[in-house]
Amino acid sequence: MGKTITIDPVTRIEGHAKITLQVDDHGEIASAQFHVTQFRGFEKFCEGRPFYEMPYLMERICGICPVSHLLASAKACDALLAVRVPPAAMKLRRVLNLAQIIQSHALSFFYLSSPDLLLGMDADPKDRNIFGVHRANPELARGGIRLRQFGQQVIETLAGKRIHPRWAVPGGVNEPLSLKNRDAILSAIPEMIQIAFQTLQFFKKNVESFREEIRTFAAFPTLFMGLVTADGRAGYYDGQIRFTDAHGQIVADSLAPADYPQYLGEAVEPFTFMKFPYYLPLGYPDGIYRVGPLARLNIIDRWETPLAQQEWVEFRALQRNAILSSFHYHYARLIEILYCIEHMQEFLEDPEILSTHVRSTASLNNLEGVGAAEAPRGTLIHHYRVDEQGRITWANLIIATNHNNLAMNRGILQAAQHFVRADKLTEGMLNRVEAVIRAFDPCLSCSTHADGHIPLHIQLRAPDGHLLDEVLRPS
Amino acid sequence: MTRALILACGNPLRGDDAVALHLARLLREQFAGPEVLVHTTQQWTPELAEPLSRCDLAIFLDASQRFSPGFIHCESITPYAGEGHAILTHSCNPALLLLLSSKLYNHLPKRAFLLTIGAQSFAFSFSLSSTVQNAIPQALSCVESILAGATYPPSVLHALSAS
Repeated sequence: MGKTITIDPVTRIEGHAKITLQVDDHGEIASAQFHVTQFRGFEKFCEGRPFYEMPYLMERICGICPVSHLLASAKACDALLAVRVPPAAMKLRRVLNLAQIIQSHALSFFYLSSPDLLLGMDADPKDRNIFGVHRANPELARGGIRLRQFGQQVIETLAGKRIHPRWAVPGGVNEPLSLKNRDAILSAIPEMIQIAFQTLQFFKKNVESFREEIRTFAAFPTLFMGLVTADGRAGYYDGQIRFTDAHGQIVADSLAPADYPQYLGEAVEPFTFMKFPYYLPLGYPDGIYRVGPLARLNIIDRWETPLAQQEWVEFRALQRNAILSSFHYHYARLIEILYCIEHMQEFLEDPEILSTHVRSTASLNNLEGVGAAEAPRGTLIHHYRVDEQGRITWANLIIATNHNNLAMNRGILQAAQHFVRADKLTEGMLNRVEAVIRAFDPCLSCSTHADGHIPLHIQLRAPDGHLLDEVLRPS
Repeated sequence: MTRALILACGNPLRGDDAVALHLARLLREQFAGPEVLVHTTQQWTPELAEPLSRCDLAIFLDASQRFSPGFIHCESITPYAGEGHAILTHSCNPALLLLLSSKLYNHLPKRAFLLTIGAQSFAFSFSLSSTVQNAIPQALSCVESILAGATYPPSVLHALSAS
């Protein structure tokens, strides 16, 4: 008779989850499931609220990436107004998005994953923290703290506070950037570029020691998806959807984010509150795809900032066609930090960013609006429908972490089959299975909105465990 | 170097949890200048170790469930004595931040205090309960006295309010 190995909770991720590994009669791992056991329900309880509240309501989904929800929501509201956002406001929103990516990536790499990368997957769990990182590489620990602090400071400078800022509004932003604040941000950029660059060099020097993990951490062919600009660069704030395959070939291009129901399906499974999006033309689960840093670096044709472009060329040379190992999310994340800092500098050096015309006003012009942007973890889509009074009648959120759900589940199976020996479990084995999830950097508090879709199984048990009643609702 | 760093932690949507933020606003008005830096935050995060490494005096302000509503408690604090393996984005506290400042930047403020105010309610609200609101002047005096050189021993309760 087979047995079940449970990793509960999965540590050093954003949110709460567990992993179960099913062992067959021969002691081999037969299946693996990533269970996200929390539920948020924002899609449901926003119904009836006025649309202009959405940016501030929706950003409460998350304390790590509120800015991403703020921007995607504000963009969906822009679409409801059919308003043209002033150029300065557009640039300010872009800078805010870049700052968000910097701080979130710094959190993921330095705080959550670098203990594994620096100390090794088999290190004592007591040491797998920022103090352990400091003991092994003080510069790296300080650099991580400084980068995250910088990203958060930029958010606070622009938007008033670090978490849940009320700044992006339908039609623009509610306050321009002052010359003093612009110069303060610019003055920190050389130091940030240096930290990002040095961390990249450190990572590249050490990545070869993870050859086995590279080969087995969700390393398989899938599609990749993300926003790209008309000339093939990464479209962090806007752009059209592109899908590429494992050979690096474009599968679909120039897809409007607003048309996502035509190419994205959403499946549900009974073991988790997280939905499973898939590429509709290939069906479920064959339409598996990945988003986020690795996907973005796989789908673009080029980058426009010099240092990131150089690093991207080197990165793409790792493997012919597309980079398939999800271990390289870490590498891609570091290159993105570098890019975001360089790109932020470009925006801030544009005099137009200091314009005081930062908001356009309009009445409700559309009863349906979609907003999409690249969040740190991938493409984020907010979709709202309103009544004639502007009250939300329906909302759908496709969260970056959701897109990767199929790949995460398949990835833990691949790693577990390679590393886990059911007859003798070790901490290092299980940590590797968790580390697959960490590579994707899922944000689970963002991504659990599968209201009304999940098959429900409720058991009422007496204190002695005796089953008193049971309700089973199929999906 | 900043002479004094005041770090106030709280959630403005959770009633009395925001008492430190109210104090911070008043302290900012009172001490506008580079000598006293007032910083507000919704949670204790590792990044705060960096500014801590640049000050002589650190004062942490927070609401507390531990004390009765309006009760003001002040204690001197030292770096966390354990290994600090619990430090994460969701789990941090002033003593861990001092440890982090000491380890990463090889600097500790010469003096560090934690001033907490007993809360009545952490329910959803933009305003403080009247009991906690009434405690603010005395909490302010306490911070002023620390800035003026007063000191408090560690882990000894100091009932600074009448409540």
